[in-house]
Amino acid sequence: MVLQSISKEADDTARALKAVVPPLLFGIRLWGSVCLALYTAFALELNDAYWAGTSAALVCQPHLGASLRKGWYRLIGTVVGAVFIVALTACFPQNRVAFLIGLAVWGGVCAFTATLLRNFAAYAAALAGFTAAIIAADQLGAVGGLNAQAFTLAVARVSEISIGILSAGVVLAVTDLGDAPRRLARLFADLMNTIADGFTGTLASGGTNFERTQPVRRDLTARVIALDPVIDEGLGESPHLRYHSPVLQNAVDGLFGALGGWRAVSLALFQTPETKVRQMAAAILDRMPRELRFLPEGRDPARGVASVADLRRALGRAVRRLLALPAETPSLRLLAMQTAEVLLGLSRTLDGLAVLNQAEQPAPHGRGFRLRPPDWLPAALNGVRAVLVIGAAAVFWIVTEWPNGASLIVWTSVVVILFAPRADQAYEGAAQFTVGNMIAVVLAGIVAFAVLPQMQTFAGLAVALGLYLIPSGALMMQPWKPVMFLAITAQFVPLLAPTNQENYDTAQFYNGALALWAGSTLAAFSFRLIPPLPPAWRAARLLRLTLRDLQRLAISRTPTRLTDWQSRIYGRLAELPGQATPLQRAQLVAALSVGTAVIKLRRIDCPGEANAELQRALGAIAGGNGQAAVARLAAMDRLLATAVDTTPAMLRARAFILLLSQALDHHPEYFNVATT
Amino acid sequence: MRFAEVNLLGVYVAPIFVMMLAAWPATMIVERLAVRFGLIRHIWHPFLFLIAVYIAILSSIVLLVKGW
Repeated sequence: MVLQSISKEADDTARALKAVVPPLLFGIRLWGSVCLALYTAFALELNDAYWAGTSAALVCQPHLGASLRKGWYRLIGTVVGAVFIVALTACFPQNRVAFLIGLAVWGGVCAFTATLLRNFAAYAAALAGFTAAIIAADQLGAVGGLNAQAFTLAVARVSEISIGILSAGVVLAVTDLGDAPRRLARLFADLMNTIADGFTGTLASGGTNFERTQPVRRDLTARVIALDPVIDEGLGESPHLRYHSPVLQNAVDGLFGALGGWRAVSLALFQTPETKVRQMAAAILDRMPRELRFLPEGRDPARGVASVADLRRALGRAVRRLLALPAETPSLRLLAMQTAEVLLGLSRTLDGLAVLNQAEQPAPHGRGFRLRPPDWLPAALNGVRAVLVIGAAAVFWIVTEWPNGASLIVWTSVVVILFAPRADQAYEGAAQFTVGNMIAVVLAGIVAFAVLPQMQTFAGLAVALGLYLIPSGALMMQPWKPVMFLAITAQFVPLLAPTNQENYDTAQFYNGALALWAGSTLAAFSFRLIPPLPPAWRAARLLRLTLRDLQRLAISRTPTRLTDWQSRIYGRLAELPGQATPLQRAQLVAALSVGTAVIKLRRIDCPGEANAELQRALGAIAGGNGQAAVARLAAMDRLLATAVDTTPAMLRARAFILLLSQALDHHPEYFNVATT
Repeated sequence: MRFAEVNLLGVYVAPIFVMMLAAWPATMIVERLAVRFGLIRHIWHPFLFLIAVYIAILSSIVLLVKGW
């Protein structure tokens, strides 16, 4: 009894330590980074050493890869912003109004770009916007006259920020080994396993589980989309992964492809008469690789039954077997082709696993990370909002002649650009940031005027920073209002603004705090005045844009590349808001299948009359007349079925016709709308 | 000792700034070579290695400029 009680207490203590130690370690790392950055900047006698400390605090992330990636992009954003402001100053040295308009437009451009980009690349774009405002504020006098110090200020700011990034990098690299590639490999392997299990389950059940597997595929799609930030972390940690980044993107596309193939097989089996379905599924199952069919649950495909290379070879052999299957009916050919799609998708994912495990080195084939703008409108709206709000802050400054007006512009720019890409979460984030700023002002005021005057050395400053940054850094890692704790942590160093010769100017502190509050509040309210597009509207718009693209693709004279079409729709799948309905997701996936089938069908050289029917069917799809398209496709199918010479290509064409007809029949309310 | 401020387009900047900039592409070249020839796969902590390379290159530049 006593032993049981001791064991329970030990378990509780271990659990509590497990919950507390990682956040505390992160807090200590953050404090160490800030101290090292400040010490280096003081030692080099830089004017505004606190920028180095602030930069170190902002770059610190709970994961090594995320910190390194953020640091790298922070540097890029800072340099771009600095170059822009130097150019703007050179263009309008004597024209305050033109200079401020240029600054507002630049803020808009950066908010626009930040919305189009993802992860830390979006952060770099945002940073380019407000770095320009920060340097501009340094060179603008109390009433907006330029002091022609832009270049010197830009060089100083870039140096200080670089020192901050480097300091954080050193502290994190020494104290954290990083595990992003391993985590990513586990995620890829787990997704592969789940898709392989689900797909073989669909074949084994003869497609009777179609409705049950739909939510599973939706969940898997969300998990594939969620790989993006982890890939970014991996790229930050490992030069090997950076070199092979196109392989990783191909691996993600492979997972999307496998999910699309699974859906098509599931739907095809579901719509096939029960008498035939078992026989067809058995024919396909016979050609599936043994390694995949008997993969035990939880086993890592990268290290499990076979090596990655063996598994890849097995998948390749299975694809060849499936394509050579003597299928007599279009439905069996369709099943074989879509199963091959699934296996090819899994094979591309295995390439990614090979790179992650560093076991082999596939050549970095395929395309790199490219911009996939799913919709320009939300980005344009964010850009316009940023221009208007930064412009309003500038007008307010000119009208009121407030000496801290330049700081007001800075904080307005920071909040309106940084939170714009969060869409419907933007106001919530900006509000949390504003509250965090105010808490930081109070706490920084106490430390600045009650604690720091007692400290005469750098060690004293470091102790004061540690008492604040370690707990606030640890609190950043908990899930409740993380943006608020980020502001509490990150704003502390610039508010304290430690210098080699410390000065305690309360009026300056209060004015700075007032500008911080006014700027962040103005920007937060701008998200209410010009709200982001509602999620339901965004989802409907993404579907409309996809349908428009599909209808253009159907009658386009220049054939669309399959990878371009797929990457565009994968981008839209990733962008679909969480509030989108299951039907909307299914419609987007159906559009992906239809577009893919159209592209592949157009490549097949069909006999004269069949080709004419195909053109009519594609014209009907482009005109939003799904029923007519299905009728034309049926006519084409009859022509191909009665052709004297039936080639494998024709059977393939009939399989695509079947796929198109099924998708058009399944979602008439979506496809029967003309968009052009 | 030749650590005079560097004239950059008419603006005098600290020599360490220029040296830090110069060390960066050199480190990138070492990184690319290490990845290209598979050396990076055998390094326990790649980023720590790259920081060490960067500091070694930066120190070499400082010593070269000093005329050591």
